[in-house]
Amino acid sequence: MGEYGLHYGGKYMSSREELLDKLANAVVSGKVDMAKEGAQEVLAAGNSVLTALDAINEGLVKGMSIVGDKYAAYQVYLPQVLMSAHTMYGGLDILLPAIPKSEVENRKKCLIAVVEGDVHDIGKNIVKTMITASGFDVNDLGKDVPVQKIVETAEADQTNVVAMSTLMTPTMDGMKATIDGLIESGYRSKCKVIIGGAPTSPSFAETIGADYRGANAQDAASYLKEVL
Amino acid sequence: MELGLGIDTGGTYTDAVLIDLESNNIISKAKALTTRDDLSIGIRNSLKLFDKSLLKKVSMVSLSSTLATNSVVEGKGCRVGVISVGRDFDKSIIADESITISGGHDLNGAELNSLDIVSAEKFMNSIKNKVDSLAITSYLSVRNPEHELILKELATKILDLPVVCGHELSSSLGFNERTLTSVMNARLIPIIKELINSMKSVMSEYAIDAPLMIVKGDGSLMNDEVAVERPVETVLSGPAASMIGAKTLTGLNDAIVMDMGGTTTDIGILRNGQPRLEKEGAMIGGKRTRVLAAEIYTSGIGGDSRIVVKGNKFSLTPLRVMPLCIAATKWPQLLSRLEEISQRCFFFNLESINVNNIVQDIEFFVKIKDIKDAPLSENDCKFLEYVSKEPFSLSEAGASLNLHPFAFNVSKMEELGIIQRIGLTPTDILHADGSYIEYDRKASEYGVKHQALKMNMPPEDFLSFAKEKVIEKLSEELLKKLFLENIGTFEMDEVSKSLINRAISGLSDDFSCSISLNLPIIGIGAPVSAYYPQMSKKLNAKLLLPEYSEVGNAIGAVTGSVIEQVEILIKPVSGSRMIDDPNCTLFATFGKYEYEKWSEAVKDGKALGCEYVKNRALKSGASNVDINIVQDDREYTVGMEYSDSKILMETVLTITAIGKPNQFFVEEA
Repeated sequence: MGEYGLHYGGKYMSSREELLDKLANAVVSGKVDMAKEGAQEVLAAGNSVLTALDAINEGLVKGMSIVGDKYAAYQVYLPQVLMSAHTMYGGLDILLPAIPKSEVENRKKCLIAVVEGDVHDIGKNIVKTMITASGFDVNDLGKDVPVQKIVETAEADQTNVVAMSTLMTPTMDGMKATIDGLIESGYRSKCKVIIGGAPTSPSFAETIGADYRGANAQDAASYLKEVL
Repeated sequence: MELGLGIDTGGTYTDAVLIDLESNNIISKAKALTTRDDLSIGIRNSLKLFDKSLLKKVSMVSLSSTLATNSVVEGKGCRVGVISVGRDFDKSIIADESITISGGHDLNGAELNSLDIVSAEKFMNSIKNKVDSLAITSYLSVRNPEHELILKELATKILDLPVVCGHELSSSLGFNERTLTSVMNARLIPIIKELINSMKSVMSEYAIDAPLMIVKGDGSLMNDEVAVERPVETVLSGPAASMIGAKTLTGLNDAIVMDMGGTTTDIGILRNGQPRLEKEGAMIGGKRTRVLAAEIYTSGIGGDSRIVVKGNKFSLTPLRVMPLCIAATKWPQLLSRLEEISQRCFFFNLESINVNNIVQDIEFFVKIKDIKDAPLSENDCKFLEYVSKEPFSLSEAGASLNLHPFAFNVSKMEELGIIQRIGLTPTDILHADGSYIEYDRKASEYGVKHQALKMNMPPEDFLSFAKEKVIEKLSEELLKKLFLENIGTFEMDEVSKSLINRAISGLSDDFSCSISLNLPIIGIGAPVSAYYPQMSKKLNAKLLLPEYSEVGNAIGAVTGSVIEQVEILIKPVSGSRMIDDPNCTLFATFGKYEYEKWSEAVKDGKALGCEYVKNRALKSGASNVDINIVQDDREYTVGMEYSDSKILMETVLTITAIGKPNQFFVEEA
């Protein structure tokens, strides 16, 4: 335990900075047990030391951002990113329930899906991680999701973002259909639509009327943070 | 000589023009005060002024009216029932009776849920005598109108009422917007019927036996028969008619048209002889519809805008007031009081921080309407009583009632439409300097003298200062419209603001800025010559001030064309290329069709579309219809930007029929 640790009634307590470091390091190195342990310690230390929300934003998310940057800079490989994501979710599972309701309601919502006909969801999962790490409340509809379901869920959730991905050319059309559906239901003007996936391009996004095409997960997340 | 009669009613005046339809020469013009309760009286009064023998030669009559627009804004119209299929419509859309039943289609035009005919039939039977028209709107009916058509057929059997379907009015996506459009349309049907009937009776009084055309929001025309079916399309037709009028008067196809009226200044851009249309559909009464209407920027600065001098600061506000010169014509007793006020010298004046509540000695108020149960204070009631016969200023009222001039909530009473404010306006500025005189010039001069004194200026300086301010404001508004069209926004940061300021006011320090317009400006409206020349000089633009511009709207009405357009969407099987000639589905307002080959779909789509628009144009009263087809193949490149493998997403056919309106009636074959 570090030299800045505080003692309360003889029991050793970690400082705010130590807890945050532990969470960030756990995510960067992909150690899920360490993240879970850190999360429990945050809860034990109480709000006066570190709130759950701060622990997520300044600990887990900071770690995930580091990993994202490293991945974008070709310094780590995809499996390492996935390990880190897994670690982050491990910590989140413990910390999220401890966030006060009012603060949960203030978080922006994002809907994410791989469009109908496509089952490739690794890319989608990484984007989901980064968007979660950016403080969004993400509803993951999974893969091979019918257009009508995305349109209906977007409205039912009152989501702020619809994020879609596909890896194959024949299913790109589903993105356009989803946007058409959002226009018909009247929800298009109330949300941002971002797309991604290997066959897509910024010009494709423009053609179908999407707001943005992310080059990678970091890019998508930083775009959303900027506009919302 | 074949004459056309163009009428513009709805503004302060009803204008009428007689025009030679071959040469577009204006033969005669007339105007009369608009009678808002019954527009036909004003129309009749304006026609009285024409040579009767000329009216007999009229072979086409065209009417531009703000009636539909006003009705929507004021919430007038008949009782409407709505059947909403497959989805609830937005709560902001008001229906007298409504039901939501299951049904609707998906984006591919396939049935999403089966149509609940039983409930629809029950509803139709329940609304007999409770509504005057019925609107039917179905989810994704633009991809398949089947459910709307089934219900329409059923409704015509059960109810003897006009029935409006969403897909008939728009082929664009947007369920709520289509629903709103069809509800508005249904509401307007009896209103437009009444207008057409009274117009026809006026025509028969003058022995005019000619087709009657009505101007639409995009500046094109339709005959009375179609107008009764689609009255919502006449909404916002005024500015569009002015633009077509400007085109007729100048012969220019590409220009900025600026129409300065009493309340507002409308700015629009003509491209290829037509006003550019609002892409998403027009905003009517603050709500988005799918009505095609000209994209017009409306600025709150007009001839009746309020000029305020607060302390010694000048400001031009968008509040509409009655000009002093007009008020003094109506109430001559104001003149002596204005004269007395103009001779007083002020050292201290009561001023409030808020420009709207400021007390101006030359502003008068008069009661114009009684409203029951209006939320008014005791002082306000006393004030209303005091100004019920003739106008008084706040200071006058305060002195007589022994109250402080600030004791009255005039802004509130003004908003409620109970009182009319009278004050100094740009119209008075023109009267005072003698460049445009129609009413009592003296009153304007006294008003100017008083305000000039407050600003410590001789009246002549005040006049040129005020004119300069109006010109600067107009220039700024014109630039805003151009920014909006060319850049997509007119939000400005500090640097762009100061650049614009330098360009307009001619200010310069270490650098100056000048702007030049690439389009000429056509000035329309009564006081144009006073402001426009200097404005166009500031903006380095060519200016045209056509003769007869004051009746530009009526001229536009009678020189417009009949235009009917349809958009057809052809969607190939997902992921196919154009050279594959893939399976296709064709979506059109007249139905959904399947094709084995894309090329066949395109060929057939063109044929069906031409047939459809041609029939529609003929029905709307066109002759010699020209058809124009635009094919837009929307392809996208897959993967890397430099790859050349292109996937066909969809093909959109835009088919337009355009024709001049029929002169005389065509015998039905």
